[in-house]
Amino acid sequence: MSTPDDARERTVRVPRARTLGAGAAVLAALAVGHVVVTAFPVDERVQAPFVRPAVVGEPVELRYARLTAGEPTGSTVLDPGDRTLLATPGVWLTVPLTIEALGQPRMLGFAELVGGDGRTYTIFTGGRSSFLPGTAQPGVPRYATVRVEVPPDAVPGAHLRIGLEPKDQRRDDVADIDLGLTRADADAWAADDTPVLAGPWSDAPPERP
Amino acid sequence: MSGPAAPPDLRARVRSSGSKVARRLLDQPLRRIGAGGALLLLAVTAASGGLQEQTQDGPEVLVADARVEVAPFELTVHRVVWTTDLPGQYLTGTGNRWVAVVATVRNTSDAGVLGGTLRDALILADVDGLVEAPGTAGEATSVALLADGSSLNPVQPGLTYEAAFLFEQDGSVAPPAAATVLLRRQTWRAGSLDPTVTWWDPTTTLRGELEVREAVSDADEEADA
Repeated sequence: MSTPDDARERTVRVPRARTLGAGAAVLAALAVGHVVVTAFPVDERVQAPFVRPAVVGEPVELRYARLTAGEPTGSTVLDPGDRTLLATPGVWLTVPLTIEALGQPRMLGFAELVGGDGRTYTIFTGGRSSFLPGTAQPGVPRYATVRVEVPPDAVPGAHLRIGLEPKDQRRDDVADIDLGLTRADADAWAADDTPVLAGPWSDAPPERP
Repeated sequence: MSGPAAPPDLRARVRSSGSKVARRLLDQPLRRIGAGGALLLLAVTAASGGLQEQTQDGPEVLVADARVEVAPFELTVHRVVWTTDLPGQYLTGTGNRWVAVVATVRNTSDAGVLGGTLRDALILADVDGLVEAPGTAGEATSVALLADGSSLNPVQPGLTYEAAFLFEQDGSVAPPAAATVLLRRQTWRAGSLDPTVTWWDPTTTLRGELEVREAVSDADEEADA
């Protein structure tokens, strides 16, 4: 006849081998998973934005909007259209954009300038370097101007990037616009103190000088 | 000496459980268990960098007009002044004044940073009556560009700005004669909860007590001349 102690011995001993085996299998699976993730680092590629290249004057189709960049201009003084003037130790670069929302109202909130010097220049929804187009309605083109201050060295070869979400461009369309700028543009702007206008957004096309 | 024995009811419970590990653990002197626990704790903290050599003993001395690196900025603190009037900047209370740390600012990273990161880089201490938002002890209300009075945000890389870190002081308190300026270095890393990489952990690396004088306007200087 078996005693309670014998029963306890059995319940302790028999699963022990299985438990150890299962534990080893789990550890082995984790180790294999780690090796696979380390050997094939695909996270960045999977999460990368879909970059849509563009040039000045040609529309670029994004998932959420059709975007057209106008001719960039620059100076050492910026007129934000609020009766103030902004100085800069570098140069102001402004790019007029036409935004045509697709499907539903869209508020484009991301912009940055990738300088020809390889550095990234932050453009915020407020502040000195800014892009604030508001909500564009489908069928109603929205006109807004990006303004950013950069060192003259960043001007030649600069690209403007525009996206939808201010903080997260993963797995979404981002326009990458080659502004077609040269060293001559940088030098001319650095020597010019005529204020360049970068007013607020509008549903009416800007007046051409 | 083996230390105090375990209570009889605990010994009885361990015996009835049939666990050899628990029985042997109970037979150990308490001192040995304490030493083992301390060693285990040390090993755990060592695994997370607890035994790494300390790189800095304390803040260095901040000297006026000396250029210093406090990532992601290069800062040169020139002077500390107070004034009641600054174009483009508005005090929250009538009669209050600005205490301004005038400095040269350069973003040495390869990307623009927002104004919050700049405000984290320089804070003020030992000044009575500072008007601060909750959770912003010693941080500037704003950083104004001397050239046009606008708020310095974002701070673009490769540009050298002349700016004033502005701290609002209650007007019922006398203007300070001296103030302690603390410069803080930040670290580029991902957040604990958010994978976005940004500047975190402001750590004081320079500290200096500077004289505070009343600001002299251009008109006053011309009148004196």
